[in-house]
Amino acid sequence: MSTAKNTTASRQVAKSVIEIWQWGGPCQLETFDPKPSAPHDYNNGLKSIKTNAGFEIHEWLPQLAKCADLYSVIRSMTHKFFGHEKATYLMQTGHVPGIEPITYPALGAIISSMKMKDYDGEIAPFVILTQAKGRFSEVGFLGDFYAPLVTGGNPNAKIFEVDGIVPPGGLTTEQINMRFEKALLFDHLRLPKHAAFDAAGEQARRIICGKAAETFDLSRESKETRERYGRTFFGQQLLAARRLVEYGVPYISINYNGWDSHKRHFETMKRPTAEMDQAVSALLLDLKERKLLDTTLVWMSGEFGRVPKVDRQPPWNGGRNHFPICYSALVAGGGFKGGQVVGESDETSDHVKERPVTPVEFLGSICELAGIDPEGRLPNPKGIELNVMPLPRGRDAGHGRLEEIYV
Amino acid sequence: MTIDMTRRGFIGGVTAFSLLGADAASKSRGPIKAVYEKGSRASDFLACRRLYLDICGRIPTPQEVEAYVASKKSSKYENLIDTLLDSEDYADYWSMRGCDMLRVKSEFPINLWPNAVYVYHRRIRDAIKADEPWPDFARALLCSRGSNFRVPESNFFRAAASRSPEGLSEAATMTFIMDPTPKYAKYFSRVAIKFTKEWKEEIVYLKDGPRDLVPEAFMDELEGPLRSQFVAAPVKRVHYWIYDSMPRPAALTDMTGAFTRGGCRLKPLLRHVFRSSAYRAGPVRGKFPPRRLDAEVLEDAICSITGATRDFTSIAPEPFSFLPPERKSVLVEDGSITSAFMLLFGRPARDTGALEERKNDITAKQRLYLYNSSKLWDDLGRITTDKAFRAKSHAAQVEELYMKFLSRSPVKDELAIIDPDGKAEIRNIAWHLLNSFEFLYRI
Repeated sequence: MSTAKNTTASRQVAKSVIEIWQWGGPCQLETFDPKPSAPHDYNNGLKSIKTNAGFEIHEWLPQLAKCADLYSVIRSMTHKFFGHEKATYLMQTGHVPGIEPITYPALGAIISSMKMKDYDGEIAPFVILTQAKGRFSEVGFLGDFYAPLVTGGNPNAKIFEVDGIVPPGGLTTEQINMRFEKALLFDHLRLPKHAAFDAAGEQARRIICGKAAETFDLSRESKETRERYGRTFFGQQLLAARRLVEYGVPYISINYNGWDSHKRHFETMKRPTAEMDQAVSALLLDLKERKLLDTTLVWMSGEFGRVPKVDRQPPWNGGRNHFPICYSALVAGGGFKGGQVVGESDETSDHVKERPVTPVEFLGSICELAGIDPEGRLPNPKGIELNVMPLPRGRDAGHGRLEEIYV
Repeated sequence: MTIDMTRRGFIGGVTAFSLLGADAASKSRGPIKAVYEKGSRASDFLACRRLYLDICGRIPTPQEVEAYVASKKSSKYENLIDTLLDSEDYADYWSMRGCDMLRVKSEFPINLWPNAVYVYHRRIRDAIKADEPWPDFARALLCSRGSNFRVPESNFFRAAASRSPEGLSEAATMTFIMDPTPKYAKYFSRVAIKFTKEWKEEIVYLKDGPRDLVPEAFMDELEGPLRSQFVAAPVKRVHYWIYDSMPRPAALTDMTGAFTRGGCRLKPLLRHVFRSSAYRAGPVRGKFPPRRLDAEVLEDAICSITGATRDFTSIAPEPFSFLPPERKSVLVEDGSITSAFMLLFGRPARDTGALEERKNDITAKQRLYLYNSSKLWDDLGRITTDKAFRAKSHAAQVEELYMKFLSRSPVKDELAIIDPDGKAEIRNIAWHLLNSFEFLYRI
C-alpha cells in the first residue's frame, strides 16, 4: 500500500492513544447501531436519536448525540470468535489466536514500545487504568521491560492512590523523603547486587516525589471539570487519562468492566450506558477545548458485540449473548475525521451488509495514525522477524484499513 | 543468638538525626556484620533461613528459627536439611520449579487447559515428593500416551508451543538436555493428538509409521549418546536456581557425581549441595551470592507475615478455576493464573521452559511497588491491628517484626536509626523491614 505510506509521512501523527476497552462486549444496538424499526425482540421498543452529525445512535446516548462531529462510528466490525479469551486476544493483538506458538503483544505495548524513544517521562509509556486484562496484559513476548503501569486504586476517591506512585495513607513528600533517608542507612549490608538495588530505589523515589505523582492528583482539577466527566469510577478514569495525555504518555488503556450482559440486558445496561455517555462525551469535548484532540486518538470497543435477538428464556431472562459477527466501535481524534459512519449492518444487525472491518484492519488503522507503519517491522528483544500487524489474508481480510475516515 | 539485646539502654539521648550522617552508618557496619557470619561461614539464623528458602520456598517462622538457633546438637544443620527435604513444602516448591521447566499453563502459547494442568501438576509433584529418578521420570513423560485427563504424563507433548515434530523435538531437548534443537524431529514424527467427545479432552497417540521412529528411541538416545548432557541438565538447573549462575566445570563434575551416586535423584544432589562449604559461606566474607526471592516466595512471605491472603481465580479459559483463599502463590499450579505482584516480580511465563524466563533482578517498578503500594500498606496494617500483637510492649513488637521479616533480633545500631526514641510507629518499622535488602534477598 504505497499510497497509505505517503499519507503517513505528511499527516500529523497522533501523539497519544486512549483505549476505552469495554470488557465483555457492549451491545451494538444499544450504542452506535440502533435498530428502531426491527422487531420488538431486537430493540425492546427502544428508539434512536439523531446526532448533530446527522446519523442516529441509541436514545440512551443523548450527550454523545450532541458531539458526534467529534467522533466516527464503525458499524461493521466482524470476526468469528465467540469466546472472550480468543476474541480479546484477536481484538487486542490483531493475531488470530492459537495458530502460532507465541503470544503477541497487545496494541498498547506495540504503540508504546515504538514511541518509547521519543518519550522521556517517568511514568511508564503504557498505563492501564485501573486493572489489567489479566493474561492479555499485555506485552506478550516483548517482555517485562514494556510492561504497563497498572494503577490500581480508585480515581473517584479523595486520593487516587496509584499503586507505587502516590503514597498510601496520605503521607507528605517530606515524610516520604525522611523514610527514604532512613531506609538507605538501614540497609547497611553492602553485598553484590546492592548497587542495582539502590539505583532502582532511587529511580522509584524520583517518581514518587516528582511530577509523575502530580499527574494522578485529580484534586488539581476544578470541581466543574470533575463533575463534567461524572463522579463515577469510569468518569474519573477518563479524566485521569486526559491528564496522562497532557503529561505525554503515549498509550493509556481503560479497562471498563460490566458489558457482558448475558442476563436481563435492558435492566442492567441502562446505567453504565448513561455513565459512558456522559464521560466519553466530556472527554472528547475537553480534549477538543484543550486543542489536544487532533493529536490524541481515542478508540472504544469491546472484544465483540451481542446477539441482536434478545433471549427471553430462563436463565437469560432478556439477555444477550456474545456476538462477533457484527459489532460496533467508536474512533475519534488523532487523525480520524469526526461525524462519519463506516460500514453498515443489515436491518437487525445480524450480519455486516457493507464494508466489513476486521480487527487487524481496525488496529492497523490506529497504528498508522499513530505514525507506525502496520506493515513495518516490530523490533523485539527476541529478535523475531515480524510485522507490527499481520497481513490480512483470505477470509480474514475485510476491505482494508479505515482510510476513508483519515483526515 | 549472637545479637546485642541491650537496645533499651542505648536509646536514651540518641536522636535519629545524630545518626543520619554517613559516618554513623559506616561505623555501625563492623559489629552488624558479625550478626551474619562466624568466620567466613553463615551464622545460625542465616543458615536456617537459607535452608527454608531454598528447600521449602518460604521464610521460616520465628519459632522455627528460635528452635534451630537454640539447639546444641552438632548435627542440627544436617538434620534440618533432612527434615525439610521430607516436608510437603519441599514438594510444593520444587514442583513449582518442575512446572516452570515443563511449561505447565492453561493457555498461550501452551494450550494445556485447566483440567490437564491440575492432573499434570499433581503428577510432577508426586515425582518430586517420591524423589523419582530422573531417567524414570523422563521415560514416563516421553513414552506415555493416552488421555490428557487420565494419563498425566501424556501432557508432556501437549505442553509444547508447537506440536509439529520439530516443535516436539525442541521441547524434548530443551527439557532433557537443555539444548533446544529440531534435530530429533524424526522420533516425534508419529506423535499425534486428537479430540474426543469429552470437553477439552485430548488423546496423545502414535500415527502409523516406521517402528523405530518413536519417542522411545529418543529416550534410548538420552540414555546412550546423550547420556552426559541428560544427566547434567538437572544438575545445571539446580546450580542455577541456588547460586544464580551456571556451574563451573569443577562444580559440575562434583555435583554430577553426587547426583549419579544418589541414583539420579534430586534429594541426594540437594543434600550434597546444602552440605557443601560453598553453600554454607557467609554473605560478606564468604561472598555467598545473594538472590532476590522468587516472585511467588516473596508474595507468600508477605502474606504469611501479615496474615493477608490472595485470591486466585481464572475465568478464561473455561472451566473456571477458583483456588482456595489460603492457597500459597508457590502452589498456584497454572502458569496462566497469576497476580499483578507475581507478574511484576518476574514469575516465568512458562512459554519455553528456559531458565531465563524467571527474572529475579530488581527493577524500579518493583521498588516503587514495595515503597508505595496501598495494598502492601494495608497488608502491613493487618499486623498492627492483630489483638495479641497489640497487647505486647513496643520493644516486644519490634522484636517480633524483626523475627518475622528477617529471622533475627534487631541490632541496637539499627534501632537507633528507625526507632530512636522507642516510640516509632510500628507500621513504619514494618515498612523499613519490608523494603530492606535483607528481607528481599536470600543472602
